[in-house]
Amino acid sequence: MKFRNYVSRTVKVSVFLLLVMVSCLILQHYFLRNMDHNSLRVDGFYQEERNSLDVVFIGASDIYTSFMPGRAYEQYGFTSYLLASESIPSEGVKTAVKEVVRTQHPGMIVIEANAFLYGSDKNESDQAHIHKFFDNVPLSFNKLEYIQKNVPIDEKWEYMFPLIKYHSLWTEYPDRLHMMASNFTLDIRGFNYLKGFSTTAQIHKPKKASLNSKLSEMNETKELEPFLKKQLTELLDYCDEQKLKVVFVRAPHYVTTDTLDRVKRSNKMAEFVNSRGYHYYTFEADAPRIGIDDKRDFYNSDHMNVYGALKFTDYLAEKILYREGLEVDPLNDAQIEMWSDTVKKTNQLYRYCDDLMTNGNDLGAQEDVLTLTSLDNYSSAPLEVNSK
Amino acid sequence: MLFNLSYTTLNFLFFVLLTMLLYFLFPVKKYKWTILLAASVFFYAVMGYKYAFFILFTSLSTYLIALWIERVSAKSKKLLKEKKKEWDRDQKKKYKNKIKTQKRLIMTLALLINFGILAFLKYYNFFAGSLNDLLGSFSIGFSMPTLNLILPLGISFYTFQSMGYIVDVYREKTKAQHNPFKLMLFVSFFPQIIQGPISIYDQLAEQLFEPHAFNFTRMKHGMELIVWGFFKKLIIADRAYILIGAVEKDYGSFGGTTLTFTILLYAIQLYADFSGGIDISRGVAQIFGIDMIDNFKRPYFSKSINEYWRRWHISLGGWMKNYVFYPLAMSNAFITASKKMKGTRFGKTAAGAHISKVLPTSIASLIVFLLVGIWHGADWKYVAFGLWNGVIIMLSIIMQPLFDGVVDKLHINRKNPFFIAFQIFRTLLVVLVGYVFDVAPSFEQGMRTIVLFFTGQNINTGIEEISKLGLIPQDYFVLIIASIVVLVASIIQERHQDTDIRTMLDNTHFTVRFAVLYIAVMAVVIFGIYGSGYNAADFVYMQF
Repeated sequence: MKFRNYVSRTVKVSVFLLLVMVSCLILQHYFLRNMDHNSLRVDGFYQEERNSLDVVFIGASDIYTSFMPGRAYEQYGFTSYLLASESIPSEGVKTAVKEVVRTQHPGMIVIEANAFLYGSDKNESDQAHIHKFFDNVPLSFNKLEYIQKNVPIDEKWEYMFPLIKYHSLWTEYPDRLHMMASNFTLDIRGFNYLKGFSTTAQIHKPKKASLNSKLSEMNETKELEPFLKKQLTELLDYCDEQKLKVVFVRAPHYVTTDTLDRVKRSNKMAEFVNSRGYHYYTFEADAPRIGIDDKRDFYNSDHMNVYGALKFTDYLAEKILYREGLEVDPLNDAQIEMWSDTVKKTNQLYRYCDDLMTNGNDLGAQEDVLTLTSLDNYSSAPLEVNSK
Repeated sequence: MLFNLSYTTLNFLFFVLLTMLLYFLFPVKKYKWTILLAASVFFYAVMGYKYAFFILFTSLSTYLIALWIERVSAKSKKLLKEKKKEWDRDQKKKYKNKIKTQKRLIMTLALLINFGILAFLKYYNFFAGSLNDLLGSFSIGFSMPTLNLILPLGISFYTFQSMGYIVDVYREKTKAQHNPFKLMLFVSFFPQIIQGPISIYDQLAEQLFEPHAFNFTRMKHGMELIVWGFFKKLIIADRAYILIGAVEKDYGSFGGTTLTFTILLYAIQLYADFSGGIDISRGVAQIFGIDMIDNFKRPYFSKSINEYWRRWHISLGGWMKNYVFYPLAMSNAFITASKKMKGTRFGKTAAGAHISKVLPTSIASLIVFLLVGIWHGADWKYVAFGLWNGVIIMLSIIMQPLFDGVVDKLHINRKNPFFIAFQIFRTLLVVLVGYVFDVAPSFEQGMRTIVLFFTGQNINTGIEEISKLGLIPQDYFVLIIASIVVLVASIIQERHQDTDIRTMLDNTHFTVRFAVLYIAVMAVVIFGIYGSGYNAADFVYMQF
């Protein structure tokens, strides 16, 4: 009798604790979470079948607005994903590389340089940017290592269980319903259509003249911020240790006198990375050669729109395939089906953005239910050459 | 603070869980209490290591002085026994008085040292500032320097508790503790160090030292009490504090309606904060098999201010009654004054006879409440808070026959629910006026608030001001629902005083218990104010 009581109590307590834990996890994942395109992008990465990607791109918005994995697959036949997050700090890049090593063994990792080009280390402590990436990374030894090294003791729990930080988001419903639905449909579908790509349908209206056409002649350099250089060194050490095939790139920007220092630091970074035996492509200087049109292909000074992204994707994909010699793995039927959906949605997205920009409507376009439902009205046929 | 181990953090819950595992798995029953001591030392080291010296000093001085008092007692008893036949009655009486004076001197030494430290750290700057103001008004060019003093964590609580123990040893109500580590545990027991309750040695100590085996029901009840404490503290108190804190920052700029609303909200916040914190403390202690005194007995249902103070911060009230009120009211000076008044012409009238009879208790009450006010903080507003309560209690004692006469004359049935509601409402008003001095940043602002209650009401301005104070409509909704839950629970508890709600819940079907607890936990998780998105408020009584 006593034993029965003991068992009954243990079962009841366990069921209660389990129910509370499951409820908290559901709340944390679907309802009370800081959901945006970053979370959908990072979630989507972890939904990719293990060891199924040929290339993983890591970086900030500079890369997820510039490279279209759907286009690269359609035209060049390799699979890729953008494990990127808005203004990701250097520590985030390091963790992302480790996570790629843990979950995928891609033929190549492409790292966009932005995180290492800041003039100060302020971005490293920007809580919003840190949380935008790390909140969405599932618990793993890599994440715990980041928390243990970098997070103040009183905030450690929040990084492990973001519900602690975001539980008050219930006050923002029903406004957040569409993001919750996006998250939910992503989980039901099981993969991210756009593979992390997001953009804004807008044409940049600059106040200052572009220096892009003069960049190829400019070889000036500027020292990297010491902390960021240390971070970069540690990253390269890790890549050496793991024998990773890593390529560094700098996406094209609308460079003006205000942002020229970043170009100089990029040149310096190129020297440093090259000296360590890695390739670094400074596409900012290549913008005219790629065919980037300063008047049409950017949506702001830091990001290209779909016109620029399409051109850059083709250019970078060719470099990856032919210059870097990427070996492409064959896909099974299910993967082929998924990637053909990705191609369709990417093409539809391009036409959707083209339509918006042609009509002068500025709007964000990403992997959410609002954008995806709008795409149904557009053709998914391959993009014509003159689209470029 | 090394890191945050405050009662409402996950760190604290894990600390309790770890302590619990160590305590119940500790193989040597006799020394189980050492786990509680180690946990208490760790807790204090983490939360206030810079000031650990003070609590160590209080523990050590209390330990030594209690032993000294006991030794003097024992020695005198031994001598009296030896001289039983030799000494006559007068010699014995003389010796006893000598010993009593000696013991009193030793006790006074302990009180002076420990209350001296408390008074210096807590009141020196207030005293210096007030003296400088006074001297300045007489154009005397002398000023006392103010010092950068910070109060050690829980100093008021552990000093009162230790000194209560010293007085009890002096009165021979309790034996002195011969193990310094055991005494240290009594002084520093971690669930009560932040905000009490102030325990009596006889009631708490043996429970601390006894080896408790794991008991499922006790753990379940403890956990339920902790969840209830979290519910009150995190959902109600800390949410209400968002508005109260905003008002406190710029108190002078708000009109009467906003301040009235703030004081009403403060009444809810203070109760939820303090009683919630005590529930967490009691819940944690209960898991270890230790029953701590309940500090609250639904104080807002009180029908008089006297009753309110018997239901609010019961442990402080009990301490004051035992160690200040009775010694004062029964002192020769007070009784002589009462007798003298009785002998006068006025004392022979009906009113005079009553007043002279209640004089010692009413004056003692006034002094006690003045001390309670000062205990709350070093500011004239707390003096006003204490005096307000003291004067009302003194008047209610003195005028009791008059009130009784009026009620009888008007043929009011004292059990009539409307009369009871009137009494509760009247008491609440008196309490709210006292709270004004708690919230207002100074005595002057407190007085201004009271004037504004009557002259500064403007609904439109009030709504406009309140809407900008950080709470959104959803917060008010949660506040109202959570307060109704607490009110309903309080009414149920008030009607079933012989038991408690947790025991009542035990008698319901498993699914009901399960649902109630699940809803409570999830409500705290979703609606609680915690995490870095908020500046979680410290417990109000932590600062005392």
